[in-house]
Amino acid sequence: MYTLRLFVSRLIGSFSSRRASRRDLDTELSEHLQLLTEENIRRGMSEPDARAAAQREFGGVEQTKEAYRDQRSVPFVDSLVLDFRFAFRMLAKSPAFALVAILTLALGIGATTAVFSVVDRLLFRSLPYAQDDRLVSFGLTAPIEKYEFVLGAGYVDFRHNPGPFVQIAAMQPGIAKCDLTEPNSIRIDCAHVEQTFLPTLGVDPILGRNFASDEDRPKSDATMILTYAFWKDRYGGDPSVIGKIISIDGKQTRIIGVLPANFEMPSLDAIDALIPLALDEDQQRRSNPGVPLRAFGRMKPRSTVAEAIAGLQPFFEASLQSAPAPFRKEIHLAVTPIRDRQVRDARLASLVLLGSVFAVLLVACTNVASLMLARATGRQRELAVRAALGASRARLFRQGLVESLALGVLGGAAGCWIAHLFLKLFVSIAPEGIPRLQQASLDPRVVIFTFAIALISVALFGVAPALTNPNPEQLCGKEVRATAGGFLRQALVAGQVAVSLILLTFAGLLLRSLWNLERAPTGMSSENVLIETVALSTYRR
Amino acid sequence: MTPPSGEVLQGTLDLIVLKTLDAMGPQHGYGIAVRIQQVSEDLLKLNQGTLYPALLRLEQRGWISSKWGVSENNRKAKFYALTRSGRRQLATETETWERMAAVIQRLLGTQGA
Repeated sequence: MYTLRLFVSRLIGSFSSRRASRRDLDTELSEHLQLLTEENIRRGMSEPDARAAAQREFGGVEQTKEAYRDQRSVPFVDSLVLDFRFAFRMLAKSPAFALVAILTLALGIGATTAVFSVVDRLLFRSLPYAQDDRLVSFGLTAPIEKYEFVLGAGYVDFRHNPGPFVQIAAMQPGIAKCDLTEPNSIRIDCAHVEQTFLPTLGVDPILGRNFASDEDRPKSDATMILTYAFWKDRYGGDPSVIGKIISIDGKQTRIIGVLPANFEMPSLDAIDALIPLALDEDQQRRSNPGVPLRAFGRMKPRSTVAEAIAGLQPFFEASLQSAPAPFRKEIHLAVTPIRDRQVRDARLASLVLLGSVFAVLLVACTNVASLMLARATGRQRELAVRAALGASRARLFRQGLVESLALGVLGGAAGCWIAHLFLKLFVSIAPEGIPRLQQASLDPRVVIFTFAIALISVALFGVAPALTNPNPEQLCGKEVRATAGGFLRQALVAGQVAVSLILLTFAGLLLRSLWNLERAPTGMSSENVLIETVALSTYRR
Repeated sequence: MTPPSGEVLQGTLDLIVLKTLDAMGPQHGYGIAVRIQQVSEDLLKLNQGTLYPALLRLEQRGWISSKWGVSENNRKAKFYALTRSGRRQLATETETWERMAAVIQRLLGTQGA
């Protein structure tokens, strides 16, 4: 405990004013010497003798000061702080260089961060379900429907023995509009889901409970589970809402639960409430093939999609029987991890986008590296002098690296700000239908990423210039042509041109396809045609 | 055997300073040095300069506190005082020291016999 306290005190010492501390110590020591001298004079010594004796008794003043300085702070941190101060001073001395370098970096880092904050939500962040890697969407695909669906008649039998899955659940595709009739009535978005829906996803209501199995049958008492946002907006987050009876589509419906705040539908549709699917088994069998449904399954631990497909074969063959014979060849079985289902075609696009902003960052880094190299040439003499005064290679390297680090930190900070602007721009100009774009934000995770990127950039652009070897000939006063880094500089320029060319070609191709897409005939004339939706309640015919 | 050197034993300076401050109350560096020399009757050869890094270390550990004041001849001086955790530390260190000294004493006693 005391050692930690000691360390913290010394760390604070490293960052507090050196000058004030030195002045205080000087005062203290001279007072001590003065008192010693006076005491000696009282004992009868002459003043010079008294002073000399005092010096002897005290010991080395300079040694004391040195020991005191080492005790006051952590020496390594001390010199690092000095390096940083020096670095910032050097940057302030050449503001044009600093501004250009920081802006270049900030643009690269900002673009990368903005794209990452979007892609991260799509591809890397875990979904709000328990063990989301075991969740799949399964069913048939047909030319008219690219996304997996199951048919009611087959499903009601399959759900009693769900083959390769631990648990399965079905829901009605899309969202249904429901009328909530009470003072200040509104129309809300509901999803009709099977009773096993929440357990399959591994989601527990934060208030109340899930549907009971007898509530998921036709003609049972109507129940519903609210989403967190709807509960907050409509009922002010009042916990006593559980058990309340409200009128949904003219039916007296009991609120039995509230979903967690981070809940989202596997389809990413925004909804206000869940309502039981209440499949009528007999009716589904009679009306073969029955209603189309979306089905989700939780795979057994450590089993693969291929195993799930194999296990689903009997179900698939049974389902095929209900399809008209000519179409059977075009119907396929599909099992898709739930993340891929959500991301759809955005996966490749987002990886390409991420790759291209990394390329932009690379170009920015090479730009800054060439700037630094140019500056290093101008500073050869300074480095040579410092080497001659006894600075080791390691020390000079560290100094160079710290200067790059200072640039990196400033660039990263400015990059965060630029990323924030970029993100706002993305969200406002992006077309509908990019999943999770609205959720993208600069949260701590993304900011950590930004600074990691800034550090990587520092490594990319900072190490090479810091390694330049000071040439002792610089000391003899005549101009020596800098040859160091000549090859490096050429390599940098070549790399930069190469990456820029790739980016340019890529952007050109993208524009070209966009152009083609815009001009592709849709097969209908869309001029002077309007679409309007009129929703009529089904229960009041 | 080397003659008794009177050098301050490694690690005992802290204890000596704490004890001095405990006995005298708030005191400046010179006062502490004088007191140590008086009590030890000049047997202890203290390089007075070494006192200052030690004082700083004790302060960093929170065992003593310092504040600027006026010395007996009206000049600015820094006064050090024992803190509560310093008092506790003094108690434990005294105990450790006494136990250690007793052990050494006994060891030397049996050697002599």
